[in-house]
This record gives sequence, C-alpha cells and structure tokens, in this order.
Amino acid sequence: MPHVPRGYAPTFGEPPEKPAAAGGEEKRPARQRLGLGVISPRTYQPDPDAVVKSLFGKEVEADGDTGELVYTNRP
Amino acid sequence: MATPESWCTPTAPDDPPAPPRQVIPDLISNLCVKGWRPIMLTGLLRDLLVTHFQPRLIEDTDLRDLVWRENAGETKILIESVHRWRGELVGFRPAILLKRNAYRNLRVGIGDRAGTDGRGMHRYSTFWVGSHTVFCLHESGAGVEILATEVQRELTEFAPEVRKALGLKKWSVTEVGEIAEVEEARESFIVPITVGWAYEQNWTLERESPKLRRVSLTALLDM
Repeated sequence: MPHVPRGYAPTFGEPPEKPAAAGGEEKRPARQRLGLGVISPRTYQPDPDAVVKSLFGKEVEADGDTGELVYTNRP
Repeated sequence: MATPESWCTPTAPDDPPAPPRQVIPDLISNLCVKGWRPIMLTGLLRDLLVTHFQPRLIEDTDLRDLVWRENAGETKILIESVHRWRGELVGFRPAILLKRNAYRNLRVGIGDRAGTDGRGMHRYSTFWVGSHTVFCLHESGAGVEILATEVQRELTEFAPEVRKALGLKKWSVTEVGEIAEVEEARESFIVPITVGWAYEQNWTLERESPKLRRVSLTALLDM
C-alpha cells in the first residue's frame, strides 16, 4: 500500500476548475461561431421597403411635398 | 330669459344615420360592412394555419402528428398571436406565433380621389400596405426548417384563392428568414416568415349643406 503523507491527501491542494455549468452553456458559443444568429420575436421587423417592392414589383418613396408614399419610376 | 317650449323635447333623440357600407362585390358580409382591418388579417392567418394542421391535411409526413387542438392538453402545436397570453402554453414547442408589423399608406390617386358617385359626391380610395411575421419555433434546427417550409408552402399555394375570395389587393409570402436561435429561449430555433399584404380603403364624403348653386355678384357691383 503506497504511503500517503498526512496532510497531502488528494482532496487537498488547489481546487480543480469548476465543471461546465449544466444546461448546454458550452455548446452555445460553438453554434454561434458557426454563424447561427439570434432573433427576438419582440424586436424582429422585416424591411418594409423590401415588402412593398416584393408585392408591387417596384419601389416607393416618400413624396417631397406631402410625405406620403408614392411609386417611383425606377424599375 | 324665457326659452321656447320646443327648446328641449322630452323624447329621445333620433339615432344617428347608419354609416355607409363599403360594398365589395362577392365578399362575405362582415368584410362588406367593415372592410379590411389588420386584426382581421391576423385572424385570417391563424385560421388558415389552424385549419391546415389537422389530420390528413399536413403535407410533410414528418409533421403528421402535429395536430392542432383548442384544448391545451390535447394540442401538439401552438398556433397563436403574440399578444394573446396563454399561461399554460408558455414555452410550448413546436409553436407558430403571429405578429403584425407596421403598415403604411400608399397613395394611388391625387388627393385620394377616386371619382364621383351618382349623387355627385366625391369618392376616395387609398391602399394600406403591411405585413405579418409568422414565427415558426421548434426544439431542433431540422424540425424548424421542416415546419417553416410547411407553413410557407401552405400560405403560398393558397394565396391566389385568398386574394380572390377576400378582396385583398396583395397577399403573398415575401420572405423566409434565416434560421436562428430565440433570444428569449436559447434552447429553441426560429424561422421568421414574412407575409405581405395590401388592402384598399374606400369611402365617400357626404356634404351636410347643399352645393353652392350660384355666385352673387351684387356685392362686387356695388363697390
């Protein structure tokens, strides 16, 4: 049986590093490094100009006098 | 100071005249009376999806068990607007959440004029353009991709009939966003689907006083 000096049991010394927290915290940064973004339904808004162009096939812009949306002549 | 006897009549005042209806031919009666409103579009989207997620209607075989039920204990998928709070279904996955985005006015005529009716009253018309976002949520990335594709295909394929039957000027899926994690619940994946729409608002302004029949020049001649 090997001799273990008193006061130097394996439980002594510098504590080991803390284990990873439960809940998959360590996996999240790896996924984000691969390019997975984060979306919040509270703040997500599509581009309104892109929606209008997709629906009507052409862009709109604010009228200089009234500020209302009107079609542009740009294709 | 004395007031005439007829100053205040004891009978109840007459009801105000009923507002004129927006008559859109071949439409269901509720739309004919009220015209399109954003909350009705939210309901339309929810009804379309609730009706689709039923047995034998789901297209993708991987989703065949996602049958929607009103009862929280029986449903396999949550389909709801973001502003309807159902405490028993918080965190329920898979889920489809509906959110109306901002909508804007699009002018289609000078001064919104759209001609005159048979009585000589001016008719007006303008377009309102906006969108809804359909958030598809699932616990796995592949699952949310399959779910989002199912929703996109359903909405795209029935868009022509929706436009025709419900009198919408525009109604189509304009964009399917990238897959991402949900900020509020990192264990869920999300794909946003944007459904753009446009409807027409038309109205007639009726004058309370009769039109000016002639212009008196007497005052000018006396000067």
